[in-house]
Amino acid sequence: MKRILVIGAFALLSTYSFAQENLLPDGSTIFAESSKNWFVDMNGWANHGSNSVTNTFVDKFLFGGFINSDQKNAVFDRLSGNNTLGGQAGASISLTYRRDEKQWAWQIAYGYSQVQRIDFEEDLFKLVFDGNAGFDETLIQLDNSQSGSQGFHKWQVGIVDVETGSFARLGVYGGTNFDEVQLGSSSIQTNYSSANGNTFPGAINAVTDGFSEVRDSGGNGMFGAGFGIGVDAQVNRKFEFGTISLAVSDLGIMHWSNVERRRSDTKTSFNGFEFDLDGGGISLGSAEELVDSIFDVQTETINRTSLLPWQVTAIFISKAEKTLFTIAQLSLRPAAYSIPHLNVALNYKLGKAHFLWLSASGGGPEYFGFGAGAQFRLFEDSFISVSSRHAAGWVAQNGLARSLYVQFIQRL
Amino acid sequence: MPKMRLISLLLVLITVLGCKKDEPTSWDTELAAPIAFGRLDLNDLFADSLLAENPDGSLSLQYNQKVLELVIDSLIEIPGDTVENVWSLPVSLNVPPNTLIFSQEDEFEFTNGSASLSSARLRNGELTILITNEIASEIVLEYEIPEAISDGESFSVDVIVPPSADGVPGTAEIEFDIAGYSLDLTGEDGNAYNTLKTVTRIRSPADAANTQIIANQEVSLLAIYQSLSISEAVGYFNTAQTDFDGVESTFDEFTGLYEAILSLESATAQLKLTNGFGADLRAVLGDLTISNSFTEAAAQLENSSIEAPINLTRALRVGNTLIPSQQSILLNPQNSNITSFIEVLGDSLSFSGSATLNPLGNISNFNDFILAESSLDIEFELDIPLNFSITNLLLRDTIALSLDSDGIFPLEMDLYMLFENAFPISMEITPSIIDQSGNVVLLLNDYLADDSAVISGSIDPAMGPSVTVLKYSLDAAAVEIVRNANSIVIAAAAETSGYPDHISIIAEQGIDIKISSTAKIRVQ
Repeated sequence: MKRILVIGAFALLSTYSFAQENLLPDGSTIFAESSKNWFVDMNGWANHGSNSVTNTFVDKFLFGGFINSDQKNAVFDRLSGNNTLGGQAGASISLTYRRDEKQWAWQIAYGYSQVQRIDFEEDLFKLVFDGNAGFDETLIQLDNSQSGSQGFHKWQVGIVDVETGSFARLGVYGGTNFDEVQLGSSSIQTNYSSANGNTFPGAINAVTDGFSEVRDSGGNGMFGAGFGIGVDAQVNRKFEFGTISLAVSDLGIMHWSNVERRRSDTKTSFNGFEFDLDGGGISLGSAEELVDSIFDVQTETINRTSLLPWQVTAIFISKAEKTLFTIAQLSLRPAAYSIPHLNVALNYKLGKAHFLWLSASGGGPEYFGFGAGAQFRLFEDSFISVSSRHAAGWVAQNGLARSLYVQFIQRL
Repeated sequence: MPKMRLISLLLVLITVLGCKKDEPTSWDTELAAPIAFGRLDLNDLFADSLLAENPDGSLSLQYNQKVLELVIDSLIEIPGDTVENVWSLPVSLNVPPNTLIFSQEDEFEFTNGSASLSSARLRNGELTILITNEIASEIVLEYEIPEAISDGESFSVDVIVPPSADGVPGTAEIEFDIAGYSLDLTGEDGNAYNTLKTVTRIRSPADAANTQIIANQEVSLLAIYQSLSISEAVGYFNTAQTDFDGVESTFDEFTGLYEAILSLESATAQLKLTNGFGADLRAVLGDLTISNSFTEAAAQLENSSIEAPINLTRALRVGNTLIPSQQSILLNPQNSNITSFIEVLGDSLSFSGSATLNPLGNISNFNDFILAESSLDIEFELDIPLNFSITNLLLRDTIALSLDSDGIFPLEMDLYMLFENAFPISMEITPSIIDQSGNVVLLLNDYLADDSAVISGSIDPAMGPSVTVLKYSLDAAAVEIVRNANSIVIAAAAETSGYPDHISIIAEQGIDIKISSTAKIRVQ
């Protein structure tokens, strides 16, 4: 029960990445057939996908708990030379004011987003979660592993075409956290020594070429770590065969200040800490100190500017004259997933205002997924929509992806 | 409609509160890594300055121990003294301002009769002046020591003494530090010894009205010299004998080796006597005993110089430079028991004997001298070739442990300790884990994979070091104790290879120690 609540929270706090803003599933706008002037649109989403990391594994990092051998092995069995894990979550709310008889309405919006992507070598994953002992003296390859994440708030103002639901918003962004890690040609090898019938680790040889850049506001305000500007926009066009929608979100730049950059470009052999028997002691510092001394990590503080984690989405909604119609959606957010997602849904219209659908998706790191969703009209002016593209992921612990989208619209 | 909004809001609140980790994310991993390394060599056992490399590459331990240091205070003692003067007028007198009322010169004599000093410099000294005034007016007392010079100025002080009132005399008491003053002790005529001239004057104040002095009213002075000692002196110091009985000095070179049984191939020592006095000395070494307080073993040095008089000529003074005279007595296995003396592994030396100043009388014609740095020193200089055998040598060292796990917790651990021992000395080690209260909470040898914790010693330097690996397999409970430990105490019982055959130590030898581990780790 608790898990369901947590997942629900994730979704409700998420933002409108994949939802059709201002549009209902059949392509009509939320402004149509209404004389109301105020419209509230709350959106949320959370999703993650990988080609190797299971949902159970992700759960352990989201909700805590011990990762046992079976759970690790389930991932190890799926590891290949090119592994990736992406995810995003967020929440948003927009308020639209429609002026009487005017084509363009005013809109203000607030949102919060977290976007993350990790690409990693098989050896790196095994090193972190299984240690170096199992590798014996085999070279542990860490090449071409990278990760990045961004978290930000945004405040936007814009205009909405009440006829088509198209909109454009410009806003300021406040960065809360940023990190980027890249490992170039890097490897680790453990050398063993033997004496008196015992074999024991003698040295750890490392070749490193990489860096990390990390900035976390530590909860110090909405602009605690970075400041940026960006736009969200969506264009909807109706055709004979249906509606086509093109959207872009979080297109802009962010300036991050006081980013801690740690770089290691060295070839080292670690034989342990040298101790002094003449009155000295053995002091093993923190894990970070240990890593720094082994890999000769150089640290500096920098400012840097990065692109916001932009996303583009194309949506096709077939003409919904009958009870069945289709929606196809193609989206790409490189900061989360390297491969675009294509989602095709078969919708069933219940009466004039309720919709049920089944969907199949392809692309993304997980390649395939099957989902379902529904939108209900509650009373006259309330709409609530819940869907998932990876419905099986909620029950299949060894699944590779999960998603949940929630939208709540209220005419006031 | 309001009901729907309320439900939505509650749902958000409930789910936000539910998004909290019950327990941290954790997993187990197996790490294999070197932990620490170090080297134990002779420089860790002895200070660099004590080790000397011989031409053949062998090493000797060279150590100096001062057995006796006799300074000037032991030879020439200056006791304190008090000089008292009383003045009065037989008739009454009205004295105008700034008029000399009394004046008197005195000669203060150092009362020690054993030395005849023509000059001296005070290392320490205090002069207290106590004045009692029965005159009903304020007076000024001037006290001067013309031949006491410091920084080119003679000693002179003015003391204002308050008047008597209601029949109670006025008094003044002032203390002066006279350390550092050079004293001419030849008196008024320049031919005396131990004599210091003083001048006392009493005046009416310059800025007062006339002073009325009634007949027989007294002014008295007490000049108290105390805490006197000299740093330099010239004269004849007389013939004097000083005896020393059981002068103890700590001998710390063998600290920690007390229980060991040592056999030396050879050893030599020098007893070096240094006379820094400008006077002849005759020394007699009565007894030099080394004692081991742990085993209560002791040995008395045997040599023909013991109980025989040793004459030391006087030191010379060239300008401000002191040139002491020296005599050395070589002690070797042929003329003494120096080897067995050292094998006691003592921690203290006891010396008895005597020193006689000017044994031939005043042959310097009052030109004996002592400078601040003058002393009679007896030093014991040891030279011990590191060619020996030893057993039952118990060594103990405490190594502080500070393990900041920072989210990494060992669960089980195989700990490997590799010893590459080039010393021809084997050691059985007993590592113990000590908690914050200083209690032994774990004996690592209980977790030893093999039966023996002996680190074998090198048999032949040409064959390289002897290699020993000790493997400790620590279970979860033992690892938890180590993680919370404060320090590790390593005790070792050492014995030379092939004991009791003698072995040699050369400069390059040492023990290289490497500690590594394979461990099951809980990452959190």
